[in-house]
Amino acid sequence: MATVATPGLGGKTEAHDPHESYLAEKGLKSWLFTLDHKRIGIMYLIGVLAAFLLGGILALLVRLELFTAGRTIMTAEQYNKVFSMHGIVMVFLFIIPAVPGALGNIFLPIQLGTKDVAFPRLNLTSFYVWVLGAVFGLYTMIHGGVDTGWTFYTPYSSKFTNTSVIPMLTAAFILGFSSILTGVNFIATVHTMRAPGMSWKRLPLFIWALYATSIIQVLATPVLAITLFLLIFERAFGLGIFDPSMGGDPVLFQHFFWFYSHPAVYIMIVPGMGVISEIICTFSRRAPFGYFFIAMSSLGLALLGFLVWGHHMFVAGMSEYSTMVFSALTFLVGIPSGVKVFNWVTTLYKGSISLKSPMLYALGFIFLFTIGGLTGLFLAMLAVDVHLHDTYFVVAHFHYVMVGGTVIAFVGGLHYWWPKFTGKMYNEGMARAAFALVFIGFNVTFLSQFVLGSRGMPRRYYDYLPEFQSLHQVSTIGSWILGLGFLVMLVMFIQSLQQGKDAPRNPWGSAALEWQTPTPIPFHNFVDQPVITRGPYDYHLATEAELDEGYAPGERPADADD
Amino acid sequence: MLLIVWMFHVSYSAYIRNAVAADNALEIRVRGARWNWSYQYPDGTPESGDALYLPVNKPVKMVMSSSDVLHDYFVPAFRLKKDVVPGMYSQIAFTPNRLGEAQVFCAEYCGAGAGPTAGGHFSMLSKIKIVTEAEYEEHLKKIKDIPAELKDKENGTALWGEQLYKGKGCTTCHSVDGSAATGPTFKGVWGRTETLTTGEQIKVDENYVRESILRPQAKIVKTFENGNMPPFVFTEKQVDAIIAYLKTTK
Ligand code: HEC
Ligand SMILES: [Cu+2]
Ligand SMILES: [Cu+2]
Repeated sequence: MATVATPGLGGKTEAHDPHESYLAEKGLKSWLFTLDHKRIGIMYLIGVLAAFLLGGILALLVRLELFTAGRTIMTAEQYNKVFSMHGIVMVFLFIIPAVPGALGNIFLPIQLGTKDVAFPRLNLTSFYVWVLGAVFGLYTMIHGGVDTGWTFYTPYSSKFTNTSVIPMLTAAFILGFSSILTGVNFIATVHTMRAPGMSWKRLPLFIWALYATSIIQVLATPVLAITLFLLIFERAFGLGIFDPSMGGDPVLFQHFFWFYSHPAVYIMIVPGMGVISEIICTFSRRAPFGYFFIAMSSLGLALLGFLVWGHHMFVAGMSEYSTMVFSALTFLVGIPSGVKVFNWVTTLYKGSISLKSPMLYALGFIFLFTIGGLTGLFLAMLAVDVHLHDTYFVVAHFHYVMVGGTVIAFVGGLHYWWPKFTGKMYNEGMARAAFALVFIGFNVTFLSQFVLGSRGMPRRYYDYLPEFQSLHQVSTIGSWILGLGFLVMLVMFIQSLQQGKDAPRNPWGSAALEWQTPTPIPFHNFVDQPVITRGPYDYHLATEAELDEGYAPGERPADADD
Repeated sequence: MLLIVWMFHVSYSAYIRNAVAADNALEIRVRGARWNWSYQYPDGTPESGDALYLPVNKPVKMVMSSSDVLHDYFVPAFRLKKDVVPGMYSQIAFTPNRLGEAQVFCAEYCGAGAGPTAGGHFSMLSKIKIVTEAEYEEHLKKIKDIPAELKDKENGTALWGEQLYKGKGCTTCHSVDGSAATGPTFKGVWGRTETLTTGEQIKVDENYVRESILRPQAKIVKTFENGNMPPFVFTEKQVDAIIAYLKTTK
């Protein structure tokens, strides 16, 4: 193919046969300079998976060091760097871009029934900005890393540590821009690019979630950028904003930081909730119970997320009145989260449930996220938080939300949409085995940490008192099971790419729009411009042909049945 | 919803109890510095970071500060925790009501030193010992003065100084065998001429040592600018003991 078509930029000559797969064109250049949202999404996917692997290895090292008290494999200094890098890589390079950058990029335009995002060039730019940030991050790691924790609290980060804080802050600063660009792009796309007939009331819940997330990204990330910028100046030139010996206030940094980082929690979790809503509807073959409430609870979380940053600072020395207000507001966050869980469970009720691997992840999500959410309510109680703050209880809580929530949703979404965007089926038996390992490993790792925390084990400790040893060992063993689960999953996906059966158009029999287009996806997403006449979950309105799973007789993989 | 309101109320009232001190509370100063705690009793007597003694059933108010980064005073047994912030005092109030011992942790990440024996956030531990009123008085009397077993020895004061040198964490930064560390070695320190960051030359004598311990940032020895020695609270007698000891580390 001589010319590269630029989708979304009307007026250019059509260089593509409408049936041709977006994967048809070969060659590195056709990937690196692509403006196609699906290819950009795949590049994101490879990027975030690499980051996840790196962050995962660091996590295993942290757990290994904690297997015995005192020194196991590294010194205290190294340990501090490893846990800091684990947090930074996982938060900034993996969890924030994972669902929007990879799954969102591939499926947002398809779910809207359009050819591409509103600004394809901006989309590619945001990917390369991400790469630039990742390069800065890796450069810092090679140059010794940082030991400040992912929170960069002052004055330790500004005056005391002698590690490479500035390049790392620059990396996070750059990554923030990538996140803003994606957000702007998605908002514009949802507003202007919907297919004819795709009214707001017919928007898939995944789109609602991405839309809410994009709003947070656009509003909150600039605050992070400014905070990091100030910290860079503070460290480089002794600005003095956060330095008490120059009349500054170290606690101010925490306000700034959490003003972004609490909403960031919703940047991480809300898209995952969107994925779960999709999976649950497809695998119970039912419209969601309370579509409107699920959609609005995403926006509700986005809004409330801005008002509760102070709950990270109950013991930081704020006035008693502000802690009271923040505690009360934090309880409110429980409401939209509760609405979601309630609606999912109600959707399952009387649905015709099929327990394929994506559904297993969705059910796993509901279970783990509920634990994460309920323990969050404990932490919102002031007196309880005073005891549990900065202990392993908090570590376990946010891993239940971030890993049990976002990562499980991301992996579930990957299983769900994998046949569509790769055009290959995977081995269902292996997928289930991986799920079992991940689910068990995760709970072993982090349930023990709830106990550790409530017994007073503080976080970020290289060494610990002997009474904590046995629980730490349980947790470390759990991390090995978890790691093994992800390894099996990796092998399964690679195997699927190499020798997987060709996937039919609609292997799950879903009524949603993205399953109506051929597999693998055509370059312009649809052969003809779709006109939307029903919502994505209207199973009662869908035709037989639309719901047909598309397997030729006898071709359906045996283990795909329940 | 009602459940949430109830959870909020109960926890908030409990929280406030620990924020407001009784009028007759025993006021303890707590200082955090990487990576030790130190205390001062209401009458000014300093206590090492190993353990704080408190009389049972007496309300206590802790006034806490940090001389470097953020720390956090965490006593799981009392369900108490509060950040210790440089440039600001933070407070907690409580009444210990049972005899015994409680573990104290630092719960705000504060880094770690280099090398296998160096301390760090994880080693910033301490204890609170709850004792009877009489034991408490007895203990206060004891730490103010030279230990009984050294009293009658000929070089007792210097020996006490050595104990303080070892017991107060000076060893992490000062050697006595000439080896390099974060701070100047104490080998041959007495009478040595130091060059300060200002370029001024100064001879190590009683006044200089006293100032170095109580207000370390006042005069800073060249090439040790980044050592950041924290200020220590010592009684007059303790400073005398350190001086006596430094005269012997030739
Ligand atoms: C965190 C490391 C650290 C600790 C702990 C520490 N010091 Fe220092 N000390 C230093 C540094 C750095 C200097 C040199 C800079 C200065 O003068 O402040 C110094 C200087 C001194 C000096 C002046 C020495 C000279 O040669 O000029 C004396 C005396 C001293 N310290 C006594 C003590 C005593 C006594 C203790 C224990 C109670 C102690 N230090 C604990 C870091 C430390
Ligand atoms: Cu938060
Ligand atoms: Cu500390």
